[in-house]
Amino acid sequence: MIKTSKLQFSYTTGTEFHFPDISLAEGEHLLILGASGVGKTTLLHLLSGLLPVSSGNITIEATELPSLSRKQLDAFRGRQMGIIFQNDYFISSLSVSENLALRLYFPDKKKDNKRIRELAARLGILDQLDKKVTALSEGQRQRLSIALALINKPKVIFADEPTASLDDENCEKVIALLKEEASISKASLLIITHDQRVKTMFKNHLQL
Amino acid sequence: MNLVKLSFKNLVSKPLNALLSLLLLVLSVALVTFMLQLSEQVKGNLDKNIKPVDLVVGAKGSPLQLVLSSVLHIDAPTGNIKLIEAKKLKKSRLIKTAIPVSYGDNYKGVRILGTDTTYFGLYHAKLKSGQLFSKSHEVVLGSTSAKKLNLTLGDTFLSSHGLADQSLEEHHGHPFIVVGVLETTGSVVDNLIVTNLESIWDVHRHSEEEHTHEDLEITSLLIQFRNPMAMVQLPRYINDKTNMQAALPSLEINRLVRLLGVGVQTIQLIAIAILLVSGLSIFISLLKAIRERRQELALLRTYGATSGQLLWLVLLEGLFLGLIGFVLGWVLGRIGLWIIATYAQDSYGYSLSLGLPTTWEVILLASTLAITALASILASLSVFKLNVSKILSAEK
Repeated sequence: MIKTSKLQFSYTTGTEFHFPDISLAEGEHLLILGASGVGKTTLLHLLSGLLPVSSGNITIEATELPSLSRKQLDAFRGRQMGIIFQNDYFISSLSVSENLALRLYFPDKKKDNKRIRELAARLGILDQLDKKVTALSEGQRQRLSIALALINKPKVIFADEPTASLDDENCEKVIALLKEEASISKASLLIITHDQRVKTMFKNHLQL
Repeated sequence: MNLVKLSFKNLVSKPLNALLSLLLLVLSVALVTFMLQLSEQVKGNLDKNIKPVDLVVGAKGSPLQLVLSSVLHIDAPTGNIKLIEAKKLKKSRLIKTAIPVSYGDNYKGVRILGTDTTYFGLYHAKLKSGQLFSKSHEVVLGSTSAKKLNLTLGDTFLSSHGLADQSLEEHHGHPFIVVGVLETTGSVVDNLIVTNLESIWDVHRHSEEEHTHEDLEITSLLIQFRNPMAMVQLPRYINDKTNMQAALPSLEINRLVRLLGVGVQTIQLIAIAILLVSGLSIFISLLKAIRERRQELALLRTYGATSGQLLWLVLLEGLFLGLIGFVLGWVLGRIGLWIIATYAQDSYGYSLSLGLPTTWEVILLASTLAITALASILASLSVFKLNVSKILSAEK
């Protein structure tokens, strides 16, 4: 469950953003569209607690983000959120399965090899688990990003331009995969994009 | 997967980054442990060998040379003294025991020492097999000499003139026979061939001229005092009233060790300087690693890692480096010691032990880790200022 009210953020450079209120129930999907420069990534970073709000409120799973300390926020993000960034980031010294295991390690020191294998199998990267992340293809990297966002069974999933670098066919596949995985873990899915191709695939839209 | 494992993987995934720091660390630790061990053990060995002898009386010359030759058997003697004079001295009330020693020959580089059987008592040497010498030309071998020369009971050999293995002149007609082999004592006795004084005199007696008793000479006299007063009176008496010289082994060896100590200290200081430079190098390489891995560290924050955990991650990496460096350095130091030990065993009969870490080395380990920890913490302070949002929204 995600709820925002009168969300505002201003950078020290003076750029100011006012965001429309968002309300998303458990298991619901929302697509946020907007041209570049309207603050899409800023919104995602606010929602995930990576940026502190200037004013307004964000409530995720009955927790008000602005009221949390930095440390509590780190732990809350680790437990409740799965984030797919515009660029894919991995720990390059580790293998695919170790990256997934590390995502489970924070913040609760969990270990779950079964979960890793099961998710990797569903995303078609089971035979890549022992490979170094640097050896993966573009498509495999995209799948690993998704796996990393889902492995912790988060209540909300944020995705920033997940389809930007994909062709039409793969674009559809990835969105389908995200929707499917979100429903399996009953998570709310919030996708931020300027990619008009994705528009038809979602009922709920919000234009920034 | 946990922080320890991750920090280790981070360290080994780019080994070249840390190589210079590691090399410096290894070098400094190797130098310090090597010098510590060497100076301690050499000092221990020297002490053990000179301890039974309170005073050496020999021909005039350098007192240090006298001690080195007569007690430690590593230098040429200063000359000879008359047996008659030595015997006169022996009567002094201040002397508990006085053991005459005489040199002149070697067999394949191993010194043949002429003395009486009380000499073995100085180093608590016991027979492993055979018996002590009772007649001229019977010899007892130190354990290392027996091994090195491959001689056993009943074997005979001809000695060569001089103390080193370079003279081609062999003494003919006077074969020595092995009658006993000693147990290992860890002292100079192990590296000697011991016989009685008569053997040495016989070997050097030329058939045409018969020596009278007055002409007999020995190299020196090893003395044990009866009481502490002797230490004050005896050396002064000998040096002033006779044409012999008295040297106190402990005094001479302390002077030698002090002289060497300056060199040892210089090397220690250089090693500590290298250790500090390696700390600086670790600081720089970790700083560089953090800058290169900014995105990965930011990613870990989005996973729920706290800034404190990131600090741990970098700190552990530094400590790993410190630990690996110390262990490699310690091993290198021991290899150096082992090489020196082999050489020293052959040349001087000193056994250096390659034992377990000493207290000093544990202190060194603690300081190494403290320096690397300090360097790592200073380098990783920037993780608290990590702007996760900015780093992750930047184009790769």
